[in-house]
Amino acid sequence: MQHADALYRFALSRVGDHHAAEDLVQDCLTAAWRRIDSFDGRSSLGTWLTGIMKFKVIDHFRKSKRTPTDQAAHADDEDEPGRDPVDRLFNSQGAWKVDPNHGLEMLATSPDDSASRNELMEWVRFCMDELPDRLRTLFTLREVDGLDVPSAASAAGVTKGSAAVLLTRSRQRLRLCLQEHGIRS
Amino acid sequence: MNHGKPVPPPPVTYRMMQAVMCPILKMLGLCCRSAFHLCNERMDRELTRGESIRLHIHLMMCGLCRRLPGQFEAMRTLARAACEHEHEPDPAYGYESLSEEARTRIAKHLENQAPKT
Repeated sequence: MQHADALYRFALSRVGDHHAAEDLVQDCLTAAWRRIDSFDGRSSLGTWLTGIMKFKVIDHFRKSKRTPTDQAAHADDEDEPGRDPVDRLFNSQGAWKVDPNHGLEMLATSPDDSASRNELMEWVRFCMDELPDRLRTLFTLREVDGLDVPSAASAAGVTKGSAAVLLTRSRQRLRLCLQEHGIRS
Repeated sequence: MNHGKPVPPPPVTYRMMQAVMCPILKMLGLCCRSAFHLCNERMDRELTRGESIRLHIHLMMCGLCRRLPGQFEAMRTLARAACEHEHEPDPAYGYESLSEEARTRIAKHLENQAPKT
């Protein structure tokens, strides 16, 4: 049970619900127990367990989502329906309306002290938490867990076409949040 | 830090240059918006040769967009790092852990899974 808290935090960060996260820890440890023979020690036990947990989280999303739908592309959108959210960034000629590099200086460098790094991580987490549920789920499955787009779309309960729109939207929102809330050095 | 401030417009030199060049660049699919879309697409699929060339040409011409590909990559790296970071306990702020009730329930469940001897 020594890895249970780390697994719990992992699950909670993905599903955002304490009860679901507890159930996922139980499922993960049960699955690990059943196939303990397949653990060959090439990675640490924690890494192996986290790998199992990733699949459990994806299963959780698959079970809880509705039938894939194109409507989902607009479900979490605060922008005007039918309007490309990227319109906020560009004028009608396709030129920037805002400075694309403002506030993103830290993306080009790696903060050398741990306090700055921790602060940067806090801001990234804050901005990810600001994403609407569906965008955050899809973004996490694709960008953090590294699923390909069709798999991430299926796990998040959206069509592949919607996933492309939603991923663009989530990246744009994350970018704007980082710019507005500042990771300026 | 830059708490919640709106993002300022691009530099005047960029705006002056775009006022002249924009219609031509847009017609050729070489405007900044196209470059932004291609950088985004590049995160999910391999660009076609034509798309890569268009992006390359734009990035050579446009100093404002030059950092875009690196920014998209860095956001992915940072998001991964932030999620890893989140699983580390932070003594300064306390951290989420399994409730005692859940811990006991899971331990009992695992005991039941153990082969009976």
